[in-house]
Amino acid sequence: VARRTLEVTRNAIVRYQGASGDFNPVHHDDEVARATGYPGAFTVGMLPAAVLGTLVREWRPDGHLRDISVRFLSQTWPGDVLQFAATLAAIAEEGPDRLVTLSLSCVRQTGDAALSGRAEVVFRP
Amino acid sequence: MWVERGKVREFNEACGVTGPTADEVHPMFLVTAAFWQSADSLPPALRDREVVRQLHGEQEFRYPERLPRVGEEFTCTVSVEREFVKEGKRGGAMRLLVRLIEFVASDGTLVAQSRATIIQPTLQPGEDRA
Repeated sequence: VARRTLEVTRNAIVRYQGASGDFNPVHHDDEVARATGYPGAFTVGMLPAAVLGTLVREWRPDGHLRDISVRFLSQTWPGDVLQFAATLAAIAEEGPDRLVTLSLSCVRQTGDAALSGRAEVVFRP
Repeated sequence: MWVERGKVREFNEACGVTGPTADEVHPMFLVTAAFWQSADSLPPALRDREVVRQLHGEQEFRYPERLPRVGEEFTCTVSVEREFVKEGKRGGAMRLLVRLIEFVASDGTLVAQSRATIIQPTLQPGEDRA
């Protein structure tokens, strides 16, 4: 039902870290990342997770986003081009309300799945 | 924590929000509770961890009735909902914990729950934190 693309840049990572308050240096300092056993700084996972949140909110702002959950499957790196998608998983009636469940995904340009997730959006009459 | 308009906009811009929801609270905004928390407000299991070696496994936000609103104040309670050990894919045990943060509005309504599954560094030989 919705798609989006994001090219990961250091700027985007630092901007998200500043906005969120997660200043873990492995996401912006190559030296710290290497000392911790990574080839270099990698994307803070909550950045693509938050983009999935944006995707769902902008899809139908009139619905109530009751639940959103994501699972981090693999790391992403500066220079990656990430494809985000929300697809319809189920529609159910809950009394007078309609509950729409979406499946969420974030895939790297290599085809590797970086995140999966699901969201519940409630539409009230 | 206070839900401040400028912070909401800053967070939205960092998350690629461009549409009509630019001044509304993003569904992941409550991660900024990090700015309102000090080490002594955390349960012992969440203190003194090696942040650079932690990994975030899963994250969930649940809003029973509504999203947070700009201008409101929450009282937040942090707890460890679950702590367990799981066999890693590449051998060795992984230590996981689920950190629950509950956000209660000034009228007593539970507005949000945040659940983070945090993967801790592998257990060293002879170490047993349980």
